[in-house]
Amino acid sequence: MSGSLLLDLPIDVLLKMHRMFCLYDQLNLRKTSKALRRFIDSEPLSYRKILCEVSCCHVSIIFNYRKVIYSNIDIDFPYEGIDHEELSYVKCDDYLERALGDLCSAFENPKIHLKELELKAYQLSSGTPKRLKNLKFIYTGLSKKFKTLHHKIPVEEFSMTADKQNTVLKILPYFTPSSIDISKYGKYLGSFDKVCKLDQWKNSKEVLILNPVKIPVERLACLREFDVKLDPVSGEILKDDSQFPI
Amino acid sequence: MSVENAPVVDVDEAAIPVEKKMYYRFESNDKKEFRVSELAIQQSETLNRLVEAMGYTSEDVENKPAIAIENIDGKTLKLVFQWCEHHKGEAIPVDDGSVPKIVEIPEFDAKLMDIDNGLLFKLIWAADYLNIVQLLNVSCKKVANMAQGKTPAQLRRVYLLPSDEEDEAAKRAAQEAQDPRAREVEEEFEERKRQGGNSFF
Repeated sequence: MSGSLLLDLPIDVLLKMHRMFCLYDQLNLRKTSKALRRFIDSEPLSYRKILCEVSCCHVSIIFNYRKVIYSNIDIDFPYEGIDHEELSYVKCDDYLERALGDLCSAFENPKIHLKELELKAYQLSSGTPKRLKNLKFIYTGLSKKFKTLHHKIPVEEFSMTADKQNTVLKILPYFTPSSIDISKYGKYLGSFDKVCKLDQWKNSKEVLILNPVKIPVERLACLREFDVKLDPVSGEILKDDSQFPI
Repeated sequence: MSVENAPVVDVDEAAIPVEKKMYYRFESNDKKEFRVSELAIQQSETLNRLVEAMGYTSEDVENKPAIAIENIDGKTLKLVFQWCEHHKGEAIPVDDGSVPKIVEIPEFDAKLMDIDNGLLFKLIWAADYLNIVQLLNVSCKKVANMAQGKTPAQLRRVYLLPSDEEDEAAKRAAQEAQDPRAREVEEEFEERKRQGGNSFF
């Protein structure tokens, strides 16, 4: 007996209870003790989606149905469709590190299987440089974490915001997505020649790119569905082949 | 305490039978006695099998000693039987293995489980031991809900979880208590290594 109310429960009860904790609570429980971390990592995680949105002053992550806002200031956004009980706030100076830590904890579990993963920038025009800096911080941290993992993460719908091809190459190779959705951050994503050589690209059934990119046409043949959405473009850009490659 | 002197706790006074119903008598490990209806007992797979195997008649349940439940105290058993009486006749849910497991806590159950953590965990142990599926579901859910919005430090306090350091220290202490000679051998080995010896023997 460990003297802990939780750890001393019979294993079948712990297994049942494990399925009732929401993802965010599981992530926090992982941090409490080695015994609980071992137990939680040995079980499939009881959640299906992680949606991470980064702004200039906060990070919001939806773990299944629980939304957690990480920030160093008071945030009081109206969130439609989310009950107060399903919303948690983490207010601290190192909010980016905390958000990154929680994301990394989720991906550490070798049994994680996500239906939906979204990594994106908050779609508001203000604070753009800071927002990009924060997003890069999250991507760099995740990339470092992914290099230490011995497993690829199965995900059905993979979606990310990227400013260039190299950003996608930092993240996408560590997943096995069924569909890929990449939206631009910045002017144009540019060439996608390296991304479309990845196994993830070849094995994906659907690809959605929210901006023109340079993709060799033979790389589209393996896809069941390929969708490019165009922003309005100016006449100058259309005249410039290097900027508008397709 | 003899069975005759044991306090009799009627779990549900309003449920005194009008028609002829069988009420079984159970005794907790601290000699508290309870009368529980046949229908309520059906919520517990363990007790239901037990009374079926015993095959008591109406006279037997009155004249024979109360059925002892050795592992559960009176305070916990009272909650268990209150729950069983309230939910008697209800279908026993089948676990479909879904993740996450969705469980709603009814108002009666929420009030019943408005107790301290120690007693709540005893209730879970009892529900597991007596195999009362839905009571186990709601009590586990109550414990899972206690984690909502808590930091790791708060979770350690709520669930009395040891930190990694405390866990390691407890393991070392347990190992040493089990084999005090092992520690001595280890220290001797370290000492010889420091002195430059390359072989322990």
